[in-house]
Amino acid sequence: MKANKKVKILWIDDEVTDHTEDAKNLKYARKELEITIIHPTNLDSKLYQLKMSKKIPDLFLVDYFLDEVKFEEGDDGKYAHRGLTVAGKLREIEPEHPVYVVTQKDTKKEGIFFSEAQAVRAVFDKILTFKEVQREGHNVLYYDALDYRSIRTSPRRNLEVLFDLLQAPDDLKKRLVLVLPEELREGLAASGSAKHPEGNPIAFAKWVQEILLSVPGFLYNELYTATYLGLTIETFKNLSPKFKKAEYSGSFAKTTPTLWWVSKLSDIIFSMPKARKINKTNPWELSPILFSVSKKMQTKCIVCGDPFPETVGINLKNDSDFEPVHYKCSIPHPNKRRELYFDEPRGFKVK
Amino acid sequence: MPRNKVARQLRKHLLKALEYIITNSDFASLPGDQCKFVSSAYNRLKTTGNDRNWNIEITQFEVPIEDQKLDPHSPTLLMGGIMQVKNGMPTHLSFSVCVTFTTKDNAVECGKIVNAPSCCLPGYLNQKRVVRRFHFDFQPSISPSSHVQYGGIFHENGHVTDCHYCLEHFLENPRIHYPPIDLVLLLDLMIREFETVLKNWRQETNWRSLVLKSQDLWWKDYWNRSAIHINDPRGVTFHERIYGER
Repeated sequence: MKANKKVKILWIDDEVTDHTEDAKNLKYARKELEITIIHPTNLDSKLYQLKMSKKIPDLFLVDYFLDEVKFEEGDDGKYAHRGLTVAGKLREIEPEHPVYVVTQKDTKKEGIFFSEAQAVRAVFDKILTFKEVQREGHNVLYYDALDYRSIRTSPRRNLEVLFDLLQAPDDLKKRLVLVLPEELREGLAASGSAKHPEGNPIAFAKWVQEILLSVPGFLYNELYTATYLGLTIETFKNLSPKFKKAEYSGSFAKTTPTLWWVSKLSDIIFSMPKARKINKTNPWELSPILFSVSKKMQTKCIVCGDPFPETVGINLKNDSDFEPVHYKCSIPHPNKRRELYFDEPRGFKVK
Repeated sequence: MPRNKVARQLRKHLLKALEYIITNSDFASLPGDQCKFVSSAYNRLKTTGNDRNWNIEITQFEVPIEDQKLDPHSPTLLMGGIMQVKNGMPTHLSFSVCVTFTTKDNAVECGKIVNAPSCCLPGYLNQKRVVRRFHFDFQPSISPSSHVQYGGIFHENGHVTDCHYCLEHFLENPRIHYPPIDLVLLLDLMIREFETVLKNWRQETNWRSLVLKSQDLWWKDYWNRSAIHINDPRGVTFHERIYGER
């Protein structure tokens, strides 16, 4: 059996002693992880040392509040800055390596999620709470680091590479090109930089995670997929093995809830021999017939209660409530931005 | 042209046209995810393995009309249809276009009687109503095989239910002799007749190539045969000919 790849993490935290045990636990949960914790005051020397030895970590994990604990008892002072400063430095030195932030505070009212949210999102590649690191860190850090590595080590000036990284279906490539940010239209190499291979692995990773995997359009999560197929979530869960081939398996798939390529979902149902005898073009009308599901197992519009809602809407009174709705029973969401070629965010009100 | 070749060409052309539509940024910007309906047809047609026998339904999609004069009515175009190929030959081509208005009572806003009183108002206030419908058919089994109808049967589906339609479903005549209209020709006609976000297609090279190909597939033979009918040396009238009377 092929041995799993080693992954090096550099954890920058003022509470070095406290987190040494956590690092051990992560390594215990995933033996391929090599985690080094350093105090922020040692960052410059450590980076110099790593650069010299050409042993650059795969991923940096930075504590947000770095100004609370001194390096050693009796030491002159604490680190005077927060994680943003360290992240800036890391970005400057290693622009293609991911920098994750970890915070003890997991309330959304904290600055990291509030007044400093824009700056944090611009600099860090992922925000993790300390609880998430303890619970899932061994997987998130490991698989994400591997994905970043495979993006970083891919050939640069080649658009096809991006599709390979995404494991994208051939017939979607034309449309995917249209939604790629401008800086990625020629692949991972920065535009006009043929001689300088430094490119945009971070931009690509960010776009994949924040747009492609998060905004429904090319990929659907469980609720969107069930709705697209005209089924309740429970019914879809039972039928999901039939749609295994449509599952997303590209970059960051391991650390994202299961997603399905929309075009592959329709390929699967339209290719079924029974589908040819049924004169229905829309998957939400066709699949309930194909799978002979009862009316109870078919999804219904949250507003009117009728079958065949074509999309998923957001409750205008509760942003976290997503429900199947008809277009005619919903409106374009007044506060959500629409991404071209992705599904239009719809809002609904329950009477 | 051999039957198989015709069917293959029609399928290839329709796939190209659907692909153009779903990759077009103007179309993608239309409210209500109109791309989703066209994509469904594209995906279905793509998986049809048999070139000789296939049929496809393009669910009606909606394109808002941008005309200041009509603004109070929130006018939209509703287009869709079906295409059927059997044994390598087209057996049914049926595309329709509706112009819809809201049933909002505009009498007060406009200061004159517009849209009211209307049979559509009481039960359908703030819903849509079909104010025009044209239905283009190519069906070799009936005469005239290629025609246009005003009105005809309105197929409600999915997102366009609750449209009020009072042009009388049962009245299918007159069927007015008209050249065959496929999705591309219908869209091309409508984007010239109405101001919509799709207006840039009029000059767009790839769109124009699709129109030229549609003309080639549907009109070339039609007009050639029509010219022969008109010049009939036996004195058979055009209508006698297309109604199969002589």
